[in-house]
Amino acid sequence: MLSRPVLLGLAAALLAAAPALAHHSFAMFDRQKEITLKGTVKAFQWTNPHSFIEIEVADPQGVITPYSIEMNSPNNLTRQGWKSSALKPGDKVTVVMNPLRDGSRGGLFVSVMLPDGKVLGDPTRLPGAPVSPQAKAG
Amino acid sequence: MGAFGIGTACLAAAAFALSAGATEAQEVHPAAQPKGHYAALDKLPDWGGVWVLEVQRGAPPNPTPEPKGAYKEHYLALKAQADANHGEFPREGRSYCAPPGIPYQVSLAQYPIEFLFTPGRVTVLMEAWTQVRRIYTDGRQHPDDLEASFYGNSIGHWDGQTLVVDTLGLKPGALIAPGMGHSDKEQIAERIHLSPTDPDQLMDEITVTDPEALEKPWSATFRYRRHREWEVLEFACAENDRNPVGASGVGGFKE
Repeated sequence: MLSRPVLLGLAAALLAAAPALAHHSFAMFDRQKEITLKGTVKAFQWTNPHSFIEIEVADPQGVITPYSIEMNSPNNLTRQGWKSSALKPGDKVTVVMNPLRDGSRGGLFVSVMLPDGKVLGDPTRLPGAPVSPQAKAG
Repeated sequence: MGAFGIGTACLAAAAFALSAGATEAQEVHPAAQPKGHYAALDKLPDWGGVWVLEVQRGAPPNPTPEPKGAYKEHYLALKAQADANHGEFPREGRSYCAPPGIPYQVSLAQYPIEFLFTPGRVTVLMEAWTQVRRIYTDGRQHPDDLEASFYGNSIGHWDGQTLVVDTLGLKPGALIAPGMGHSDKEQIAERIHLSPTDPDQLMDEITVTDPEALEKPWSATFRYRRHREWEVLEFACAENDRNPVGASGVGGFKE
């Protein structure tokens, strides 16, 4: 389970849009909840079928807990403007995720704040948002 | 030495039988002899670029397939499990890296497809799961002894600027829709063409006929938006598959 020190924010979020297509169901994630993690990037896995941010979160006593945050595929991330260089090991970041329902240390990516304060999100999570700026809905 | 000799002889005989069988069965179709036919491709429509499924506002929604008999009972059982688990249909033993098959993949959004025209053949390259549909337009018929597969056996022809496709031989894992299986009588007819009013929209009018698994043929129209500026990207699903399917058919998550 999530320990209290790392649970900086827990908010009921409105279910915004139909889930972006993934190679599996998103039922394992609680999309009604958002959890914010402040930590250090251990790895940015730019891989199919999903990218992952591996992040290490330290509590006030210095105990480190690893989390895995599942993202869209690099294919869809590329078309949203992402690059494999967006995150690198050692980056201090703040990640928002929808947690796993079973309490395991992971979740579904919502957004990340980079060390320079820039926030990268998943535009397909916004209501009515196209996959790419060029996409039209006719 | 004697036993070794007999074994070698048996192997040699088996190899001979296999190659003889293969030689008898294999007919060389026109698509395998393309030289001299490339100029004819210029008459075909411009389907260049890559295409992504879109939902057209104002278009009538596609009907839902209506399973029947044992297929309906099975669907309802899976649907009940999905309803009890946030909408997730059990995968029935298949990895998430297994493709959805035809026709289900035709209805999936977000990942593009592209078409290649070569003499006697149209090839559909699908980014998701790196899948390929080979649609032979060289006049061949479906083989008599089809082995079932995720994409089946597709033959087609051009009716003017419309590609007409007939597909047979889908394996059980190639779904019609989530939780909806099919019998070996399933046949899929498609008419694929540019929209008459929008040259950057491709339409796939699909009819699935299965007298054993469907109450009536299911017809749906899927629309795709052209992106000439895109390229199809690599999708190697085995690279980092952290979502194993558990014994209950529900997806997991490797921390």
